[in-house]
Amino acid sequence: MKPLATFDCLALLPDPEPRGTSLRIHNALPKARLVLASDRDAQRTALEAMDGAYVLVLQPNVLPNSQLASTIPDPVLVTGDYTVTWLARNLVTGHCEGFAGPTLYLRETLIADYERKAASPVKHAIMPYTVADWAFNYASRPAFSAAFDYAKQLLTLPNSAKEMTIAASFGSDMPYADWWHLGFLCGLSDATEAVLSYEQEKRAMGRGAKMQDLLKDLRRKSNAEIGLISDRISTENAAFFRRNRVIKPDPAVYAELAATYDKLGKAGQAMAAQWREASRWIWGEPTR
Amino acid sequence: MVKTTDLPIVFMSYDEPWADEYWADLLSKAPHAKRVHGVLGLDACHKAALKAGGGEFVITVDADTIVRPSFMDVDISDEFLKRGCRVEYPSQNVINGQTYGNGSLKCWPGKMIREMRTHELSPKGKVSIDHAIGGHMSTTKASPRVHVPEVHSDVNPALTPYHAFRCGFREGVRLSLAGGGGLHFRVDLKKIRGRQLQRLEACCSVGTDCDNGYWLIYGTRLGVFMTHASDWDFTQINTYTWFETFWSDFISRRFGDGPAQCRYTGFRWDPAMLEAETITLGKRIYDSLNLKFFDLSPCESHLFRESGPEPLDWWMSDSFGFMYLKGLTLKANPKRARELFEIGALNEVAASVNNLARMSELGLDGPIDTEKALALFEQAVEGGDKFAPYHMANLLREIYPDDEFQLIRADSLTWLAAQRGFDPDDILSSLEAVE
Repeated sequence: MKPLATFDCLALLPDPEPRGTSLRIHNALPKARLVLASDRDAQRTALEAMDGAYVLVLQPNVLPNSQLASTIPDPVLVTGDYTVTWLARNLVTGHCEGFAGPTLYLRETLIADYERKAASPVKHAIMPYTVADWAFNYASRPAFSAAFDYAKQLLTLPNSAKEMTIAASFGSDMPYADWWHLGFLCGLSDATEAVLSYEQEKRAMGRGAKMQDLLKDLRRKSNAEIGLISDRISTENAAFFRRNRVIKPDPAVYAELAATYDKLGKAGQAMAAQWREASRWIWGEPTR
Repeated sequence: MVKTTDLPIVFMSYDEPWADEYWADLLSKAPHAKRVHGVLGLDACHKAALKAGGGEFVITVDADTIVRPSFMDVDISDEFLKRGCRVEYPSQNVINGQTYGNGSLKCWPGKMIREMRTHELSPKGKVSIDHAIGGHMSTTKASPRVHVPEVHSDVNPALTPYHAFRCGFREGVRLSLAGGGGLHFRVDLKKIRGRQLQRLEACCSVGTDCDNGYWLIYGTRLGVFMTHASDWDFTQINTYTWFETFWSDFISRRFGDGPAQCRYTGFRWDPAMLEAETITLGKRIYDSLNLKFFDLSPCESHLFRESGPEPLDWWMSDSFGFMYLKGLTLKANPKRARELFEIGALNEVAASVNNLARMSELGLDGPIDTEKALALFEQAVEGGDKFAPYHMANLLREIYPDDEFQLIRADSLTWLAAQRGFDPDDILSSLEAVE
């Protein structure tokens, strides 16, 4: 396998595109085709114009970091028909997650999905490496929407309490962090549509409601209703969290990856054992 | 393999008023455990523990540490049960969430305890504030400390104001100094980096939501301040009698007779004054030493711990691999070394990638493969390893002695290594001489 820099790439763009996005993507991924996330026809056309068997997909507001270009996908996974996702670092909370991470697909599967207008059931592996930044915090709306969708995703997952705490509390020292927190807390509520929810909060603020009061009310509600452990961290102390919280992927990411490798024959089982030991050196299994 | 329950376990207490509770807890999990109590001095205490254990090895448990039941199912490999090898299991601090050697469970060989000279008996001219077990204790890769990446205990150093203050103060001094084991010295605090700095900051900032948490934080900050803002003799922390005097003459009087009361000792203090003084001390440290500590609210402290746990020092797999590669303390085993370096590489430890490159270059545990070595060196250089540029430069010179481009590249790499702190040819000082 070759480094990701040599692969075709479909980079989905938000509308409007933040300045510098295309430059940063093309620097790492010269073959990237940048298409609006809302334009499915253009995405399909771009996919059909590519010639490689695999395509790396970047979600909107996901930008490559310095590791991405030289990252080499594991052939054991790729030839085993797995889509492979790497992690992206949330620029507000600092947390690394697969939710928005770059993903390597078989191109023909993606094209078929566009034709059927539905995602195929795929085997999925998440690599515990951070290769991108999830950089949504350049304006209020993308920060709100990203958090809203992320919250909805976490609500469907078991054992996501820690991720929820981090998403709802960390990062006050970053631009548009309040909008991220607001979007996340709205996403935990009954609201179903990010754009409507965003407009509603904007209107409330137009009527004089203060951001911190809105956040306080929503936090109190989420803490009471779903047992969220969250509070505002001061801007100054958020920097302490950023500096001192060592971010490594959760043990579950390693465990799932090892379980995936276990299914891939002898070579896969050897890799599974290695990943389990790698996790042990970080997280001190078996007791934690 | 030997089960931990088949080895002597000794609980070491000195003056801790909760010690009977913790001892009872240990006995409930390890009925064969023994106890030494009231032995003054780290050196004497460990020698007493060895004697109480009555075996050639002994597992020691500090008085502020609760052993998790999982420890009783642990097997210790025969290869670690050697005369010069101390096996350590890190402990999780329940006040600030840090997981490291403070309160760790240790399996000692009797020979090491008999021969070690902890601080109160450290060799003349050596300034030590820890177990000084000679070269053993140095932070070099020749250390015989085997760090097992498993957590089987929780340490609570803040059960009384006095003990919280004492532990915090010692950690403040220790974490703000350079060196280790047999030798400690002051350095510019800007040179304290990485995990050591993170631990120092956490010890100085997290825990305000816990009983006596402020005492731990205040003690840590004062330890840093006294060590670096004056020429105070920091080896004083070796002596518990000095602490007792310091506490009774200065600290307890300063904060005494307030509304808060210790449930173990009955000591009373003024928590508002303690909080205010802790914050003021943080500002003074920032003003005079340019080191920033943070004043976390109780809720923020809670969130910091809840969003954990803290990862272990995962790069220790590399040191462990190096011990196997070189036969340091452990029997040389290049195959196991390679396995550990491969684990390190998976965990993005650049030093492990460099070591894999060296193994390919030198044909250790496999054939010589310079092409593979170069690819790995390149990866290690990108990852920030300080040795890799130097080794890669030498390999390039060897493979391409007549290729001008590669020779220029090699020179650049040698410079890079020097700038990263590895300069065996002393090229940086030769440049200074020219200038």
